[in-house]
Amino acid sequence: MANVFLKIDGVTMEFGGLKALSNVNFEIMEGEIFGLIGPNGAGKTTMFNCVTGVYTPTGGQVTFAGGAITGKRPDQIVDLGICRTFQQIRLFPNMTAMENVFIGVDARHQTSVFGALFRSPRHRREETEGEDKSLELLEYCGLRKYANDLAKNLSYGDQRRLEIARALGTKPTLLLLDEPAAGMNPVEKNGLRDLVRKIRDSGITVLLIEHDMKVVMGLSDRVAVLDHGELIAYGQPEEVQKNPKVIEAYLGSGAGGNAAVSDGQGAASDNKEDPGGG
Amino acid sequence: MATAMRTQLDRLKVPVDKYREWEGGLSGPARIGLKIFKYLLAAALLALIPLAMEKEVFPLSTIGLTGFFGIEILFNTGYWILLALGLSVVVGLAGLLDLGYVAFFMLGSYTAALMTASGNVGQFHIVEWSPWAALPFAVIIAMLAGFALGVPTLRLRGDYLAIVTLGFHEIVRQTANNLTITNGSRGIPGIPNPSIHLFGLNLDFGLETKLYWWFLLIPGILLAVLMIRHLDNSRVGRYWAAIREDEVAAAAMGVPVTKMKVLAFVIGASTSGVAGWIYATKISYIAPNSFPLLLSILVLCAVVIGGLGSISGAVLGAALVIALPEIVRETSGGATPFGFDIETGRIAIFGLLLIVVMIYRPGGLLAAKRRRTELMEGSGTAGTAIAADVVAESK
Repeated sequence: MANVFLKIDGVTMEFGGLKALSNVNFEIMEGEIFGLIGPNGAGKTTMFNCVTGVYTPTGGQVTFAGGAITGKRPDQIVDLGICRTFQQIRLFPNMTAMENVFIGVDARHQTSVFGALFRSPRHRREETEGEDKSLELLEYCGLRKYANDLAKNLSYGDQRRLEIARALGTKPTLLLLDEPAAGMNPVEKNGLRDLVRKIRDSGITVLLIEHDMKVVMGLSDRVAVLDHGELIAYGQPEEVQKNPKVIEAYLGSGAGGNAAVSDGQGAASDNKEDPGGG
Repeated sequence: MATAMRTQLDRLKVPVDKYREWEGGLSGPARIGLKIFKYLLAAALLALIPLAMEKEVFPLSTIGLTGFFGIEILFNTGYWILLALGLSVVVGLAGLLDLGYVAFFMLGSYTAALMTASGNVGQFHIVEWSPWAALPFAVIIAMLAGFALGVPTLRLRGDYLAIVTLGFHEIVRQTANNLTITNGSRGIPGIPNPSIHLFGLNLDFGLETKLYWWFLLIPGILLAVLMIRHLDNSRVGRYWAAIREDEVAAAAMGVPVTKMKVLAFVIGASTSGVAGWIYATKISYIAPNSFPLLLSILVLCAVVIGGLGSISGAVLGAALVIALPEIVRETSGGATPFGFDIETGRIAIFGLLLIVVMIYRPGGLLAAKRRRTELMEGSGTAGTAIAADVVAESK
């Protein structure tokens, strides 16, 4: 069995009186695709923010590759090898696709302010390598032909892929994808599934938030379900789908025991998220 | 291999720019040589301006910028270019709205004054050094002030940051107004002019030798331009752009937001330290009233008119803000159309021009590459052109 890679240990996040997460525990193994699902407002994105340093959890510990990362700054967490995408696309809209990826690639560069000022050999090497690496990543995500287009001019699905390319630029060992399939058409979703598998096969552990059940159940090795900030189920996708608590959370208590959350037909399929807002 | 693919891609999408292509293909030493040549050429051209003024050459003679008066305006434009360049880093590149930028200029001036003035011994000077020895201190103090303002205000954005910087300016001014060592509102007189006595050369800077000040400003301006260009076309510049575009996303991509913002303040303050030193040692007398809030606003005007984040824009903006009112005055010839006295109303005309520029060129007269696209909705070709420029310049 692989090692525990990311350990969420009793994480609680309170905003004033609102408990967005209460005592959540789960573990992600190295090399797996882990799905995090739950109805809207269940606390999935809050969990992402706790892991990536946007929020400091009010209780509990996040451990990554054996070291505590709670309370670290977002850029320190990127240095450790965790990077994310956003539910509501947050690219740098007026920079080209290549520049967007370059920002991610820069996270692993060493050029100092003085190096940039005096055009050190390292600066020149990293500029060239960074360009090549950025183009390579665009190619990897199928965006090569848009390298010189502004991020805001890409289609919605391509913007989502560009977010992934940018995150991959930081050389993560754990990639957090926040609803990567939202707003994609079925063809794009298939492409995305292939891309996520390709990323996992290249040795990157993936934590995935997704509403589209087809995508998440088809991809994930294991799944955790959040509802009202609490972990209500955790395990293999097949088990979780049959869990009465999960069915209740998604379809309401009247749904009975027979209905299984099987595909995108349930209330879970929510692709009408505000595109590009925020 | 990857490089070959890149060239292929660039051929495909980027409109061919023969010059950039040629420049990109140069070897290391050739590229550095070309760069040195360009800057020397710029220095030579700038150095010829006073000569052109003395000889009353055509465009300058028409707009009245000639002789003694012209050189005075040239000097003012020179240190304003330094100010505009510094503020352009803070506002244009990092996207931090700073309304109190002149506070750094003032700190540079006061540092220069306190370290050199021989006025009323024991009352308002620290040491009585040569102006040259005070120069590095003026820069360092301004940069430290940039650091001091940057650290506590990092969490603030937009309007809130603007208010805090506004307050910072006022704090610095009121402090100088009330301290004994700065001689309160009476200011510091007797700041010595610098002079150069080297290798048989005797250059005494003074009223009769105004030209020297301009020759002193030229390397200052070119160094500032070089510094900002190098920073902008590097990891640092990309980080600043990322912060300006989306701070949260930048942090999530590993950009040390705090550090980069403080750096922008510090780099921005450095040029105003130099400007402050030059101003103090030329004018020989400074007082808190020489640094009103309006000055901060006018520097911001210069940067915005020229084009946020654009270096050539900052230079043009500074030149316009300083020279335009004077040109209007010189060329009006005392005309009073409809009873409006152009000479006294020149500032109003200047204000009108500001409004016109902002309406018809919202990105500034010489908009920066990136900013230009922000204002051109949905134009893919613009993006392509930028990519070509950015790639070529980062080498």
